[in-house]
Amino acid sequence: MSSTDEQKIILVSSDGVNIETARIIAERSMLIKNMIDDLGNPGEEPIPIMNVSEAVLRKVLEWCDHHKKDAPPEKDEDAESRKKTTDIEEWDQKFMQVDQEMLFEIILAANYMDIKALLDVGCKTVANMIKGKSPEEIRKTFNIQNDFTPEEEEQIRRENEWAEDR
Amino acid sequence: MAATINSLPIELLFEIFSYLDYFGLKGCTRVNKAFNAIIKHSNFDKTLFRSTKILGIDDCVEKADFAFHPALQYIYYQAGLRPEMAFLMPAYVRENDHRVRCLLDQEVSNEQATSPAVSFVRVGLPCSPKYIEVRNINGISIRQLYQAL
Repeated sequence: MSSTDEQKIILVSSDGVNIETARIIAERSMLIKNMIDDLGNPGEEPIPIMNVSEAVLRKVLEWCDHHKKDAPPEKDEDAESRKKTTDIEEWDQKFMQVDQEMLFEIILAANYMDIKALLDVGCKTVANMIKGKSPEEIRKTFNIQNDFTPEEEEQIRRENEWAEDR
Repeated sequence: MAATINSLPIELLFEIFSYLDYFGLKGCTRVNKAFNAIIKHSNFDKTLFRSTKILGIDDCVEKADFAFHPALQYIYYQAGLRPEMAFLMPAYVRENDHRVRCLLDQEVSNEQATSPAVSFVRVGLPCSPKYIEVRNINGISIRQLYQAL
């Protein structure tokens, strides 16, 4: 039996494509790690990743590959510090330079596959896209419909009045 | 179907919003009904304040000196002040004078009144129309503020 590092496993994307990868890479995903632990005999059976298409899965695995040597997340310790900043390391920033569809697909996949660090990077990226923008600019950026009636807008404006921003 | 920001479940929007500061959040309350509802959701305050860096507080006083209440982040004395000046800490306004400044460390004590010159303090909760006002002709202490909160 080969060592865990070299062990290969096969993932199956939602669109039915087999993707071979190293176990150490795939196990950045707690979903996959738990599945492997539960199933035993890794590598023998392909692991279906139901909600993630091939393109997104490959992208996620690219991230996992780059981060395969990262220390596994500590249980509690980091919950606080992790959140404090929206700084993103350079490689991750580049990695996240994708179109919005892919960005949100990555976030959804990271959530589904339980890859906390990738989810954080995705959420920070979106937060950085919101920062410093007016409500109208935010709508434009994300193609969001303004569904407030003029009366409701007025109401919110009044609510915020005591502390009107910029 | 292409994924958009609307594809994200609420808990992920929560997660994203938790990285925004006060101004970012305020902007988001005006984007659409969904954002508005999430940010005003009662659980959000807790999530937010547990996780977001408290703006400016580190520059102002030692946290340990001051049992920090998140709402104190947004203290306004009188209309017309620029919020970014005021959200740092309790600041005070001289009568008929809109200047604001941060309390010095030694002034931040539970018992001590800010200064007789401060006769009212208005504390707002972010993204909520509610605020409380504390008035005291002899100045306002941090303890009084806490009690009011």
